Amino acid sequence: MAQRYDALGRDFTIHASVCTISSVIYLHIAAKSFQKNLAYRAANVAGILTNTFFGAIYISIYTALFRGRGDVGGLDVRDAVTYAIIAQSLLMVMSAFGNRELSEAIVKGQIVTDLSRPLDFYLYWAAIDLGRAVYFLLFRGAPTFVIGMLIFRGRLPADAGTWLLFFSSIVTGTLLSFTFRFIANSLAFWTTDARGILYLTNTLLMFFAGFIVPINFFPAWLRTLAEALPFRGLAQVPINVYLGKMTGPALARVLGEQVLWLIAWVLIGRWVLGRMVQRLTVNGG
Amino acid sequence: MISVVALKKEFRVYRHHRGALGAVRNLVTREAHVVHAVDGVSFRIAPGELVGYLGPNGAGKSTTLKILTGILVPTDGEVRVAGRVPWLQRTEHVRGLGAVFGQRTGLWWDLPVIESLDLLRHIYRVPADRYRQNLRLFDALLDLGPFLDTPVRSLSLGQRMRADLAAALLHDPMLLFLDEPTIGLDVVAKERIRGFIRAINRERGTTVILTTHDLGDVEKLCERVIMIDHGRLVFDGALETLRQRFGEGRVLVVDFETPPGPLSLPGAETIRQEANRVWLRVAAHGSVAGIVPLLFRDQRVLDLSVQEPEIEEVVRRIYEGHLLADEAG
Repeated sequence: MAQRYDALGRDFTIHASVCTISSVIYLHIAAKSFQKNLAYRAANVAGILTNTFFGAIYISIYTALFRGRGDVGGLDVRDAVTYAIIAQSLLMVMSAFGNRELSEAIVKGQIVTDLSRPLDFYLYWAAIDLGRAVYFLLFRGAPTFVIGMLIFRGRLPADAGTWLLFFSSIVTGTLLSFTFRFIANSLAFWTTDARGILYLTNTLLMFFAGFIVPINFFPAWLRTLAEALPFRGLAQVPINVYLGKMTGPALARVLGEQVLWLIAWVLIGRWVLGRMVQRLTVNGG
Repeated sequence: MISVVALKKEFRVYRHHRGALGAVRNLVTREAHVVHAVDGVSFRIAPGELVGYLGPNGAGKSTTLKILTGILVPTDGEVRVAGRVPWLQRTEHVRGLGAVFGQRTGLWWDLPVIESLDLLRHIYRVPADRYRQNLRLFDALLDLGPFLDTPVRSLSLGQRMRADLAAALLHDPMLLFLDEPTIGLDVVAKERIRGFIRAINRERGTTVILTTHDLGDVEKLCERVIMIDHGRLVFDGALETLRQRFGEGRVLVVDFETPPGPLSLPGAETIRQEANRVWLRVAAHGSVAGIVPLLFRDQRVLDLSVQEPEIEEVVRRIYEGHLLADEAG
């Protein structure tokens, strides 16, 4: 079999055995990343309280908003309360505030060390983010969800199938979030200060995900725009799946679109990475 | 082990115009000029060598190392490391490679040292018993024990460097790249690191390429020196040859019984005189043995010593570009 390489020298030939061994390595990396996050227990307790507090604020706003109305944008008051609880639970899982780990590694030149390992740089960071997301799902999202549900009496999904679809859409959302943040962080390489770009991209991400205001409440034109963008996969899609508002062929279409976005972002991310490596000479170090 | 032939790496730099109008111009016009970071460098390194790769800032050292690591693809030229082309078979290539970039760490900042080492064990697929064996050896040589459970962010610079060296060698690489391994360390820490590098090179036969601005590292460790400047090879040979060829010659310090008159000696030049003591520079290719008898001819000599040219001085003069012109002429 002829071997194929890309500009980064990655072997594109697929060997089944090699793939199994290396995926184990990336699982080890994800596990270490999980463990790293585990070190910040006190911060996490404070985080759960903050998420619950903001959830309470949203819920009191929605309760006031719904007074005398049965339905806003397809959601009733209990749906809206549930939306607020889940949105707060998913915030950190989806890294909605962004994280600058990668852009800092790039700016400080740390990536030269990472590139000298027998690893795929992109998968390496994907594994790190996976470990982070699993940590936040278990230790931030789950407690925030349980506390919110107990205090504010949100809705529970209709059946086990809904739970399953809900979790699949969380997985897709996490991957969308990572692939997008990888590109945003990589842009740090071309600017002297990455913060400007990251503020902008994170605001886009948070708003169009439906974390700040449910997309269901958007005016028609803005809703059309939000639904054309992939960011809603981080919050609006999983929550609507959970509430049973997105089912059947409509849901299949949305998830299909998100997979296409995912592929596009992986390709763009890898392309940007290739450009970045080619430019490493200029910065020296 | 390593063969580099006519290696070239060029990159484009775009000119940036200053000011508000300049920013607009930057959008429209892209004036590029080509920088030759590495410009036709060739060398071979045999297995087991410990080579100092020197050059002033911006000479092209890092670029060469990045090409040898497989991170960068050169513009032109041939590179083989253990029979492989680094950038074409990057993953297999780096499996046999250890690298320490002194200003950065290869360890995870927030995790205890041992956790990073454990992760590297999995990444490089080091068998469990080999891992334990290496860890024991590195602990004996580098005294890692006291800080194995400390997060990397809490380590001192010297401890971090020791941990990084251990991390780079866990998988028994045939080839080790060290980029400024002693930068910022105190004398004791430097000596410890140097001792370790020497031990690994001698006992395991690991080929080492060392980039440094600390000429103490070079003097203590390297028999061979490769020097580049402006992307070109300036010198490749033994450290001693470098001293002889580029040094301004040895200096003979003579204490006479009484102040001597003006000395006229073939092959030596008086550079300083204080009372009874005279400093004579012996031409770079001259012989001290030929001059000494002449000193005894007219006067009584009380003491005599020979000063070798300081390597720092030699390197400083090469970096400043004085000697290249001499060589050409």
